[in-house]
Amino acid sequence: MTTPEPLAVLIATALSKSFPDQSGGLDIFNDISIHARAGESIAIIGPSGAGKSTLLSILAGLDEPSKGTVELLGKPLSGLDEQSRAELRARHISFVFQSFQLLPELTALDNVQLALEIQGHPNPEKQASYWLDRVGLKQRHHHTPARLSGGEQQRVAIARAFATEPSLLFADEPTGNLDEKTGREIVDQLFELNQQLNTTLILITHDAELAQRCQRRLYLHDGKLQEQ
Amino acid sequence: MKSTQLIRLALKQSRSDLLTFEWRALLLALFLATSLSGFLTLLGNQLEKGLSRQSATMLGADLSLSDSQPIDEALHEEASKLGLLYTNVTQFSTMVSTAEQMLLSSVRAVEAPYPLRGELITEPPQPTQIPVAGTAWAEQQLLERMGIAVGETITLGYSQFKITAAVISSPDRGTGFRSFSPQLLINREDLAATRVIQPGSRIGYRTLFSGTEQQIKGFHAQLRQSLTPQQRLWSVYADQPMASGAMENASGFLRMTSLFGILLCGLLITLSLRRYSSAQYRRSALLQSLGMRPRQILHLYLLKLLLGWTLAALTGIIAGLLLLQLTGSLLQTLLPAGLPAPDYRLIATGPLLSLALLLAIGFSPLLQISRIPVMGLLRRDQLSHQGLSWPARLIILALTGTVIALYLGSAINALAAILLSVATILLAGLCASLLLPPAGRLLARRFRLGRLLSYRIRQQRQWHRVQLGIMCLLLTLLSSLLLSQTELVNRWRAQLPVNTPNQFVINIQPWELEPLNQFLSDSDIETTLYPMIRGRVMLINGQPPERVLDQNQLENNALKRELNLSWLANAPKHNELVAGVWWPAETQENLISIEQDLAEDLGLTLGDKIGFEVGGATFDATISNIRKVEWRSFRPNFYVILSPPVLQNYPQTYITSFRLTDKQAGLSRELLKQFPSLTLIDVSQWIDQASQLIERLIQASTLILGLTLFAGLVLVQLLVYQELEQRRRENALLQILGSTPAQTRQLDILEFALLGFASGIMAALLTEIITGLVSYRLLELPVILHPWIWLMLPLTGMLLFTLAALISHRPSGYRQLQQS
Repeated sequence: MTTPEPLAVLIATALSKSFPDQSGGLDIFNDISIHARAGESIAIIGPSGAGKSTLLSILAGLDEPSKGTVELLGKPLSGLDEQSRAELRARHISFVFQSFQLLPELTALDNVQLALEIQGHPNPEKQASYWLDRVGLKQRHHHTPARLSGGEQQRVAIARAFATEPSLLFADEPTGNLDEKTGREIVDQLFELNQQLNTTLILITHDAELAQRCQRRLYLHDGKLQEQ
Repeated sequence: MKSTQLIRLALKQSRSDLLTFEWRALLLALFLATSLSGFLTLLGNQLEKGLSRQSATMLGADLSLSDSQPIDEALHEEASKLGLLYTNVTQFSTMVSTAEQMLLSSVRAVEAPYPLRGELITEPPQPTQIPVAGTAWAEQQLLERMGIAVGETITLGYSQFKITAAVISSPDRGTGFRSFSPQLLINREDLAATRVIQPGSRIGYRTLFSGTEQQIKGFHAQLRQSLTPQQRLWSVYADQPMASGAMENASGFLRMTSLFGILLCGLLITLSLRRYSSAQYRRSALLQSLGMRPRQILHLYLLKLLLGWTLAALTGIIAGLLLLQLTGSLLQTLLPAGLPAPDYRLIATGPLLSLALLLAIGFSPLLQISRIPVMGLLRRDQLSHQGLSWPARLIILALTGTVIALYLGSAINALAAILLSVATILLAGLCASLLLPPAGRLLARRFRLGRLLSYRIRQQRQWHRVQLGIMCLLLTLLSSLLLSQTELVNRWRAQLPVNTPNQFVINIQPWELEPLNQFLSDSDIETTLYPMIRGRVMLINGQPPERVLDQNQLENNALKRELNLSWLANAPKHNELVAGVWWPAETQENLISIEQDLAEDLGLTLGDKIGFEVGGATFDATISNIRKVEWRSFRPNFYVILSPPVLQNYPQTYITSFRLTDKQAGLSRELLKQFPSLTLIDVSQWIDQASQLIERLIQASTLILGLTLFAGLVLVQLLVYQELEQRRRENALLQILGSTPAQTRQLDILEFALLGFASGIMAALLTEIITGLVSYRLLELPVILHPWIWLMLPLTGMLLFTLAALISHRPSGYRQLQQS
C-alpha cells in the first residue's frame, strides 16, 4: 500500500521577471520553477537583491511575472481577475513579515479579526480570540501593538496568519527583528502550526539555521533557483 | 565639524529633502503663510489708505476744525510751521433771491486752495479752484428750485452774484442741517460786502488742513488738547466721517481672515514637521553614530529649516505681490477714486510671520531629532516619536499666540481667535466624529466594505477628529459667508418697508400746518406732522444729574445737548410701547414717554421725574411709559415725547417725513415753491450711498475670504494627500489579506466621503447657530432655519473630500510593506 501523493498547493513554472530600465530591461530572475505540496516547508535563501521578495509577491499573486505561470491549488493565477485573486489570497494565503505589519491603532484582537472580516468569516471575533489564546496572548487581546513586545507582535501576526486557516503561508524574514531567543520561539511556533494544520510554509530568510529546519531549501542566486 | 562643512551638508541635504513629501508640504505651508499674510496685510493697508482718501474726499481735507466763532489765527500759523496746508471756509444759512423767487440756502464762502482733498466738479468746468470774486457757483438743486440757469444773477444780502457754474459734486458740504439745504459757493473776499454776517448770526467757521499722515496725526492730537466746547474736530485717520466704523471693520475682517489662514498654515507646519522629523530620526541616529554631536545636529536642521524658509519666503513674496496685482485690478472700482498704492514695506510681514511661526512650532521637533539615541539604528522602537510634555506644548502655544498677537496688534483678539478656532475645531471634530461609528455600523450591515470601514473609523479616530474639525470650520465659514452675503443683507434690506420715507421736511411753522397738510393730501401723500421744540434735561427726580448718575451715565450725549422734544395726544404708530401705558388724549398731567435705550442708559423707570429747561422756562414731568424706537424707520422719532399740556404753549416748529417716488420728483420743487421757508432733506441719496458702500465692502470681503478658503482647501488637500501616503502601507496590507486594489481605493473614497458628510452636517449646525446669532443679535431679525444647507453642506463636504482623495490616491503594493 502506498501513501497518496500530497496535493500540490503551488506550482510555478518557468517564471521570469524583468524590469524595464535604460539599457532595455533588468532581469531579476529567469526560468524559475517551484513545486510545493501541502504541509511542506520550503526555505528560499539568497543574497540581498537576488529577487526573493519579488518572487514571493509573484507566487502570492500580488505581482505578475514577465513570463511563466503560477498555479495555486490547481488554479492558474494568470487566468484570474483581480477580484478572484484577492479572494484566493483571502481564503488560502497568509503572510508573516519581518516588521510584523500590524495596524498600530488597532488592538491585537482587531488586527486578527480584520483578516477574518476580509475573508468573510462567519464568526470573526471568536476565531480571532481563539487564535490569540493559541499563540499565548490570552492576556493581550486588547493591547495595541505599541504596548506589545516585538515577540508578542510577531505572535499576533502569526495568529492573524493562521486564523484564516490558509493552505499556504509566506514568511518573509519572520525573525529578522527579534532577538535570538524570541526568534527561536516564534520559529518553533511557526513550524508547529505548519505541521498541525498541514499548511505549506514558504520561508524567505538569510538565516542558515532557520533554513535548515525546512524540508527543502531553494537558493536564489544570479537569477536562478537551485535546490540544495 | 566646522560651520562651513555644516552649511555645505545642510545645502546638500536640503536638495535631497526636496524630493520628500514631508519637506514639500512644509515648504508649501510656509509659502502659503508668507504669501497670504503678506498679501492680506498689503491689501488691508491699501483699503485703509483708500477709505481714508475717500473720507478725505468727503471731508475736503485730512483734518477739519469747525467752530461757531472765527478760528484763531495762531492755529493757522502753527499749522504752517508744521508744514500743513490749510484753507478757511465760512458757512451759513440764508435766503437767496431772484426777482421772483426766494430760497433758504447754505452758503459756503471759500478761499483758494480749495478743496484740499477731493475734487469740486462744475458744469461747465472752471479754470479756477473757487468762484472768481463777484460770481457764485450753485448746486443744481438750487438752480432748479429757483427756476434759474447758469449765467443768471442772484441776490445775497446786499450783493449780487452772477452764477457762472453749476456744482455737480463737491466735498466739504459741512455737517448738520446746513448741509441739507441747496448750496451756493462764493469767494470769501465777497463775504463782507454781503453784510449777512451780523452779531448773533449762526455761522459755521472751519479750517481745513492737509498733510502727511504723521503730520495730521500729530496736529490732531495737539488740537484735541485745546478744543473748546463749541469746536468739532474731524480727522480721516480717527473719525471716518464717511463710513464710521466700516474701515475698522474691513481692516479687522482682513486680519481675522488672514488669522484663519495662518492658523491653518500653522497646523500644516505642525503636521508636516512632525512627519518630517519622524522621517529624519534614522538619519539623525546615523549622523550621531558617525560622530556628530546632538548640538551640531540641531544646528544642521535649523539651517535646513532656514534654507527652506528662505525659498518659501522668496516665492511667497512674489506670489503675494502677484495676488495684490490681481485683486488690485478687481477692486479698482471699490472706491470711486480707485485704490492707492500700498506701503510695500509691509510685505516683510509675510516672511517674518512665517519665520516666527516656523521657529515657534518647529523648535521642539528639531530638539527631538537631535536627541534620538544612536541605538535607534539597531532597535526601531528607539526611533519612535516621543510625545511632547504639557509644559512644552504650552510653551509652543504661547509662542504661537505671541506671534499671532503681534500680527493682529491685539493680545486679547489673538487669544480669543486662537481659543475660538481651536475650540471650534476640537469640539466640531469631536461632535462630528460621533456620527462616524453609527454610520460605519449602518454600512457594515449592508456592505462587506462597510465592515472594513468600521475598522478604519476605529483605527483613525484621532486623525478623523482633526480633519473633521478643520473641514467643519472651512464649510461653516463658506456657508456663513454665502448666507450673510445673500440672505442676511437681503433680509436686512427687505425689513425697510416699501414705503420707507425718503424726504424729511423741517422748519414748518404753525401757520403753515394747514396749507401744507392740504398740499400733501392733494398730492396723495399721507403723513403726520410732529411738533418739535428743543429742550435740555436739567433735573432727574428733583436732583441735578451729577448727583444721581454715575460718571458713565453722565457721558450720555442726551445730557450734553438740547434734545428735540415733541408732544402728542396719541402714541406714534411706528413706536412700540414696552412698559407703562399711553396717556388719555385729554390728560392734563405732565407726562413723559421715553425711549427705551435712553431710559436704560440713565437708569430711569416708570414714575421717575425729569426736569427740562425750554426757552428759559423749566418744568417737571413724570415718566408714564417707555417706547421702543426703530431708528432705521426713517420717520420722525424722539427720545422724549411729552403729554400735550406741557409744551403746547411754547413756540414750536413741525417736522414730517414722507416718501416720493421717482415719478414724484418734481413735487419737492413745487413744495418749496409754495413754502420757501421749509427745509427739505432728501435722504434717498444717503441710503443709496450707504447701500453701495455695504455692497462694495461685501464684494471685497467675499474675494478675500474666498482666497483664504481656497488656501484652506489646498491645505485640506495636502492633509488628505499626506494621510493617503500613510495609507498606502495599510492598503498594501489589506491587499495581502485578501482585498483587491479597487476595494482599498473604494474604502478610501468611502471613508473620505463619510468624513465629508459628517463635517457637512456639523457645519450646517454651526452655520445655523452663527447666522441665527447674527440675525438675532446684530440685525435684530427673527431666526429662521435653512433646510437647504443641511443638504448642500454634507454634499459639498462629500464632494470636496472625495475629490481630494481621488486626486491624491496612489496605488499600493507589496513594496510598501517591504519599505516600512
